[in-house]
Amino acid sequence: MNMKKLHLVIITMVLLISTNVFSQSKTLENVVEVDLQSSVEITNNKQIVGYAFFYKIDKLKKAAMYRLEILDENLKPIGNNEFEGPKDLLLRRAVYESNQVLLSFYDKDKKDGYERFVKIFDLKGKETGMVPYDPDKVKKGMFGAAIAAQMENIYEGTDNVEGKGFICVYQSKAKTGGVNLQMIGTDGKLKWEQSITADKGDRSDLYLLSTTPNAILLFEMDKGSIMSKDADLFLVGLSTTDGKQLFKKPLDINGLSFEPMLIKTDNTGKLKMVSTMYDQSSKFATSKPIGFSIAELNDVTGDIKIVKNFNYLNDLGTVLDMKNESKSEDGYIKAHNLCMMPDGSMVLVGEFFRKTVSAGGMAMKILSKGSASAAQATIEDMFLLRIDNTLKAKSLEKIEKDKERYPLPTDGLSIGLMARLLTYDHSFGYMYTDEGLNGQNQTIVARGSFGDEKYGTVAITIDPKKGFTQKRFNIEKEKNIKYYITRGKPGTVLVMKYNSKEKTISLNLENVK
Amino acid sequence: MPLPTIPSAVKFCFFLFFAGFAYLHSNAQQNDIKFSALSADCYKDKIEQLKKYVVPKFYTDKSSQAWYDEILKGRNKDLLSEFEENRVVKDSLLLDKCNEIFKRIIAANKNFKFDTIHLYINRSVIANAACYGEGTIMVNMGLFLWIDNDDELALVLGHEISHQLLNHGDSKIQKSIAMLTSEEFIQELKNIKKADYGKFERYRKLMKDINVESGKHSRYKESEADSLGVVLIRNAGYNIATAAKVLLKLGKVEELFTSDKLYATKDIFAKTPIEQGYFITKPKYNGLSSVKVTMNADKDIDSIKTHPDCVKRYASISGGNTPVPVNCCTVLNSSYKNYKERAMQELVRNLYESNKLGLCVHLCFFALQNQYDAATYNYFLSLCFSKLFYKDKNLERFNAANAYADPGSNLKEVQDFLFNSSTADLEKLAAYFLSLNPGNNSEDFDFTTMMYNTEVKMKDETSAYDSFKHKYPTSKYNYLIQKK
Repeated sequence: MNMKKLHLVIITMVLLISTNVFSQSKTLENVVEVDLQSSVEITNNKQIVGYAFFYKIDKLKKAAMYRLEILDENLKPIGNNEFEGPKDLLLRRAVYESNQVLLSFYDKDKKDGYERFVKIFDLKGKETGMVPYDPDKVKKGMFGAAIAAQMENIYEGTDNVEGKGFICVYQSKAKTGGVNLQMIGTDGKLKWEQSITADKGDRSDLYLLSTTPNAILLFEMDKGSIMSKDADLFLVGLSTTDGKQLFKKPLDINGLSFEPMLIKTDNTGKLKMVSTMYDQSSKFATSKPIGFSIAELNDVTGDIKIVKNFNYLNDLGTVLDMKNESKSEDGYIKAHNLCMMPDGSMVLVGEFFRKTVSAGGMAMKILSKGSASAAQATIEDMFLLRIDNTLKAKSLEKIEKDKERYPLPTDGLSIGLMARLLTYDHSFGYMYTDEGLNGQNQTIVARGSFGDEKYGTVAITIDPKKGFTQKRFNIEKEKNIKYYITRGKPGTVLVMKYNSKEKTISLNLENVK
Repeated sequence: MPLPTIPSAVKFCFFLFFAGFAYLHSNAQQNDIKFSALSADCYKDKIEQLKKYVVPKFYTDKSSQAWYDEILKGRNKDLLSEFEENRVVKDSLLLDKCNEIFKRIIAANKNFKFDTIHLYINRSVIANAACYGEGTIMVNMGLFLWIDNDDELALVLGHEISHQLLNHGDSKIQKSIAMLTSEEFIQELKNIKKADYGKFERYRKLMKDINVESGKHSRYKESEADSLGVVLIRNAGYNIATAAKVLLKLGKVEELFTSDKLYATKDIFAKTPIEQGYFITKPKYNGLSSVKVTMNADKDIDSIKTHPDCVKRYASISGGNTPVPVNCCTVLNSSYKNYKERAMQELVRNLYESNKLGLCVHLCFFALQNQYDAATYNYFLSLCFSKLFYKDKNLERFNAANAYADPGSNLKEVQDFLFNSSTADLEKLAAYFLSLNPGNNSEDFDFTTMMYNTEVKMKDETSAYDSFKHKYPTSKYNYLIQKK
């Protein structure tokens, strides 16, 4: 969804919501126009548990009055609050933990960087705390952000720490890179602050992988300089109690480099780390993935015990025709997620992609005497690779979809960087994976043009016993109506139907089964 | 843009009444499903009357006339939509019962003028009755589920009739107009419009003052209507002590939507051919709906209760009696069984018709648990599951399942199930509940079968409808087919 569309949707959404909220005083919006500043999902352990709507209700001198609505996962309002804030305050993220919701705000009009702060509310909407962050420390970093996006991890933002509170991650403005972290308790008070950066002349990029009750787990890439293509990779663990470093373990092990994809507890209660695997001798920024790895992780000591390294060429050759160590007959492999099923088996969700030459791009290249790019990325079928509970690849199920092509900014882009670029731009068909309500099945939501079907969104639900089922969200074209499909509570997608003529929007959660 | 309306100033004499719920006889027998006449067809005169209104002559200045016009337009619009959109029915059984009591009240109270008063039956599930002014009194269908005898119904009607006799509606309009046309109000509104900052807060304060003022008056007026209502029904020979019990049910009325003891959801589905895994596996996921939160939104406005405490009202009306325990939803009552059956059938029909399938299934389960006519509710359950299957295909399942119930309640269990169950299970349930009534009544059976075939089996709608209409040219279901 592009930003312009989102803006339209959001503005109308508030009219709908405000009618509900002010059901006893519907006319209030006639006096002051109500603008929705932002609407975000409230997450807990990376799952959606509710929604937060934040909008301006009153203009004040050099300030504004805002209203916050907290909705449960079924879109039912459960709490609200009104407070004064800067003129253009935006709500960025919302995280839930132990009956508290942490909201991360920023003031876009601050000239000296962004002013960041978080507010903590109970579910009724009563404010229980506020923790500011020094605006001088904020800066964006595209490379780290792209890598974090590729792995569905948090480059900058917040996450909950089970039973303990919240962790806020801010990218450091220092030339040496790094992050600044704030741990906030469920009482709404700052528990500790911590900074991680490289030594002078070096560069560190970090992003948040996961949190456990014991540790804040971060991925760290240390480089000789900001432009360096190679990097040393580390897994860093900080104590949730005081922010002190528990461990910093290298992720370059036995000639292989590991880039963590996800960290989660399996059915036996063990913490598992799933990583994309590269050859350590190739430069990290441009290297091609050659497989993926499953390891057990101790979140207190940082010990990593490799359970199995899956090499595309050697270990998956029985189900996948590989041309070389990173490319199959169907193209390069982009692994999106590894679903851990209740019976101990696993399903790798991925897509095939290729680097091809565009006829139009070639013409432009000739016309521009070589300065334009003729290269394009072609995204092909999705696949589900099944691995049984003895860690053997059993089968590969392809989900056919039409090829989609995206021009690349330069001909010389490496496969590794290309995969990151496509992920960061949300160009792959894969959208997200969700665990079902009871943890029995996993659902992958993807978009694209599937076989004979028209362009749409499809939910692919994987069952350990029954293969997979697909549910297509085929939406008929209607005059003045636009549909948006986004993530809903587990097992659902949120369908937003926007009527541009009536300026109304209806929200509908759709079951993916 | 029209001038802002003020909801509390245009809503009149809205009064909630709640009454007792009961079990019915267990020896339920098969009855044909009967539908009451819908208001758009049978109340055309009333609709025309509501479209026309005249500003009374005593509003001489233009500002007062404009406000009266605005307020009345708002009120009539609401009322008009009730009639035009078939939220009112002409149900001979329920309406006759109300009119029978009303006539007895008229006969016993010669000093009052009742000529303008007319009673109507609203299809709302909320146990409620309301006086809309100008003689229009609505009794909600949901109220009949809780009423156990004539005395209780008489107290409800007596109260609403009193609002009309005491002219509470019109006097409230007059008071509101006086306030809205006062120099002070007009000036403050102008100031707010001109202001650069803080408009919202100032406007809210202005409206809050009006709401608080009207809230105080409402409480007084409710007590006044209680007093006159008691006099009216006592004169008519109704037993006040028995009647007053209806007030004790006020605190219990929400049980129909919040209780977890109305039926065992798991046991109901255990008899069906669906996969039982949903009820065996405990969901891992907990969204915010699983956390019990009492919303503090608009707490200032919430505090303006229009009705005094129900236990106090009971004590006051019953002459100081100590409150007795009332067992709503558990007492099997026979004397009002017919009315409850009628009301339940119409409520379920209305919920099905208006796509509130979560609530509809919930009431069907409740009815089956309490030995209401089983065939009727089996048909409606089949219809609901077929429709939900169809809604799922059209991306409208969530709204139809209507998951807005309290955590832990039977209603919530049902709504969650409707939303989370697989479409394969919906199909099985539609077929299962249909199979429980094999040809009991050909018209009902044929309609339910047709809906199953068109909504679940995706058979051609046009030919199925034509065939049904050909077989039953005057079927009570034809309006549903036309609507679809």
